Order: sequence, then C-alpha cells, then structure tokens
Amino acid sequence: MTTFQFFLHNFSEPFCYGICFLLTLLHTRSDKHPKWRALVAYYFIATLLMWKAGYSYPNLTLYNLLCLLSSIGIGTYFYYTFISTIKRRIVIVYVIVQSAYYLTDVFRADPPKVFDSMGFVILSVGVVLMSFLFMHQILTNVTEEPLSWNFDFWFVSSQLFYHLGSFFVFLTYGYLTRKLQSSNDYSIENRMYLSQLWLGHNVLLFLSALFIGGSMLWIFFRKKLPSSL
Amino acid sequence: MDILSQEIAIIVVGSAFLLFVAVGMIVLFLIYQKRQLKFLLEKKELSNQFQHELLKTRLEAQEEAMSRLGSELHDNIGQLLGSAKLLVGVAERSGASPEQFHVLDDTISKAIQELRALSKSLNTEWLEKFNWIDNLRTEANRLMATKEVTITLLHPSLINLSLDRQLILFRIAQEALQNGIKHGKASHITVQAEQNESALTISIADNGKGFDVNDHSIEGVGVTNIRHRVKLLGGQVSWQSGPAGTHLFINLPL
Repeated sequence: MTTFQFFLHNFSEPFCYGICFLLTLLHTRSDKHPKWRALVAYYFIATLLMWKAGYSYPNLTLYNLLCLLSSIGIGTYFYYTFISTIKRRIVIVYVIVQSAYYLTDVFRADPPKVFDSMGFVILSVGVVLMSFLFMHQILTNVTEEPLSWNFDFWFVSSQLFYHLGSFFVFLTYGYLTRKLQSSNDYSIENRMYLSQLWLGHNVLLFLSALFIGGSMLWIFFRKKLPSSL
Repeated sequence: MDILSQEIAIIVVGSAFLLFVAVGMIVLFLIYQKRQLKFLLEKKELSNQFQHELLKTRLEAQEEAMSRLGSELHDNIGQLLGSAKLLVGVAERSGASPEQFHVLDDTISKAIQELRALSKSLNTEWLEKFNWIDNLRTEANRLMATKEVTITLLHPSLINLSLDRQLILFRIAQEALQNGIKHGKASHITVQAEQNESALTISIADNGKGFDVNDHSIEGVGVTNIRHRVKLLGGQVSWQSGPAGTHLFINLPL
C-alpha cells in the first residue's frame, strides 16, 4: 500500500471533517447563530474521533459514537433552522430515536464486531427527511434573496448529497463484512477489496465538504458583485 | 469473491442513482425557487405600480378639484358677491327700498350657501369617503350640463371594491367618457356596472364614430392609461368598435 493509499484509507475522513470544521468556523465569523456554533463543535469532535479511528483497531465503537454525534450535531442545526414547531418536534423525535438506538448498542454485552449498518441507516434517513423538511420550509417562505446566496441551502444540499449517496453503502456494509467474515476467504486482500466500497463513501464525504467550501466562495464572490442577481 | 464483487457493483450503481437523484433534486429545487422568486418580484412590482398609480390618481383628482374650485369662485360666488356689492352701491346712492334689501339678503345668502358647498367639497376627508357611484353621477351631470351629451348610468346600489380601487376605477370611467365625447363625438353614452360574488363588470357604450381597435398606431394616451389601470386592478379590458359606436368592457375580480 502506498502512502497515498494509506492516507486515503485511514485519514481521508478526519481530513474531510477537518475541512468542514474550518469552513463552518469561518462562517461563524459572519453568522454567529448558535446552529453554526453547534456544527463547529460537532465537526471538531468528529475530526478528533475519526483521527483516532485511523490509528485504532477495532474502531467500530468510535464510528458508532460518530453516528450518535452526527445525529445530535446535525439535529441541533436543523432544530434551530426550522421555524415550524412541528418540524422542530420531528427533529427532537429523530434525535431521541437515534440516541435510544445507540444506548441499546452500548449496553450490549459484546463489543461490536461489524459495522453498525442500522445506526447509520437511521442517521441517513433522518438527515434526508430533515433536508426535505428544510426544502419545504424554503418553498413556503420565499424571500427576495436568491436561493443560491443562501448558505443554509447549500449546507443542507451537501448533507442531502452525502447521506443519500452513502445510503446503500451504510445499508450493506455490515452485511457484506459479516458475509466476508463467515466465508473461508477472509484475507487482507479481500478485506481491502471491501474497503474500496468505504473509500467510495469517503469520496462522497470529500465531495460534500467541497460542496460547502465551493458554495461559501460562490456566495462570497456573488455578494461582492453589486449587479449580480 | 465474485458474489461480493457483484453485490458491490449493485451498491455502486444504486448509490450512483441516488446521487443522481440528489443532484437532480437540488437543481430542480433551485430552478423552481428561482421561478417562484421571479413571480414574487413581479407581484411586488405590480403592487408598487398600484401604489404609484393611486398616488398619481389622487393628485390628479386634487388638481381637478382645485381647478373646479377656481372656476366656482370666479363664475359663481364672484358673480354673486359682485351683484351684492352693486346693490349696496345703489342703496348707498339712492336709498334702498325693502325689496332691494330683500334681494341683497337673498344674494348674500346664496353666496354663503355656495361657499359652504365649496368648503364641503374641499374637505380633505373626501378621498377617504370616496364612492365610485356618487362621483360617476356627479361627473355625468357635469358633462351633461354642456347639453352636448346624455349619459345613462345603470349600476347596483353598492360596489364591492376598496376605496383605492374605486378611485382608480373612477379615473378609468372618466377617461372612457372623455374619449367618447372628445374623439368619438358621441351624443349618448351608457355606463353599466354589474357585479356578482366574484367579479365586477363595467360596460361603457357610446354612439360615436368609433375607431379601429386593431390599429395600435392610433391608440392614444387615454386607451393606454385605461389598459395600464385595469392591469393594476388585476382585471381585463377589451374594446369593440365600429361606425355605430364604441363598446368598452372591463372585468375586475372581487
């Protein structure tokens, strides 16, 4: 394995979360809303967790913790973004469900042996649902500012892009690992073959971070041009 | 491993499909919101135009009222006071009889009455109490006083429009009446208003010489003003014209 491949497999996730952390931190300079502060904290802890996961083996507990943290961090963001009380309640219900699932996992006697697909599927479905609720909110509250200038829209779009794109990976990764473990051919080569799938997920994570960064630049330069609409 | 690679291929295809759906949804959403924003801005622009037109109409109405006031002061009250002064002069020179005093008293009383009527018409609250039917009747009487035209008004007892919209509608009717008299040389005009729960229909028909409704080059400021004002009220306007006269139809939503 080359150094680059090693980096891709073990540190692309903390790298992507680190980018998101820096971008949201940068955004809080102009928008000090608590939802952005919550995201800054979330991305900071996620970066540390994934950094640690790059060195640790087994690291499945760290991933489960990331899943819970993501639901709380992104849930807090949506809670503050939604205007409607019903939508806010949906966010609360979702975070409770995700936390309850995590707690049942924690109190299980044996440590996790395979990737927890169900936890990440709940996360993906929750984030996609909240993204749709956000889009509905935008449609029912049209402002005079173009949507392409709305950083919230781009952030939510990046989440929709990542979680919808990774859905099948989350759904099947645990099952495929179990299948591979139960087969007679659980070699390093075959495990690497499976990890290519996770690498695809990492690419989506990287693209979603680029999405956020690109939209920040877009909004910055568009707002600088006085005649652009 | 072949089975696993097949499954991974399916997952990749499925993920690619979902990604395509996600990107497509974001793009569609951007386009839809852009259209919605355009509609909102157009609506706002129309509302601004309405306010502008309303202000213009109010100013025009006030200007007209001032002009009428000037004429009234000069032609009516001025004449009455002139007569009174003459009578006082006669009485001073030759001693006035009781009849002369009676005439003088009548003349001054009439002048006072006219002044009161004028003061009432100058009341700034008139715009707030604006009534399309009353004002149209006054306008019709004013035009008929020239003896060149007769105007028939057919209308319900009340028009279900806001005062602002009634004011703009009055200017439309006024413009149409003036067009009929000035350009159409009409001797008779009928103004008919009908309303139901959802719409108000105004029809203004004259027996003038008519004009070519398809020839936009001869379309004057009056016609353009009517079109513009009806659009601001959110209604529709159309003309039918021939040698027997012109018929204007206006349909306004309520």
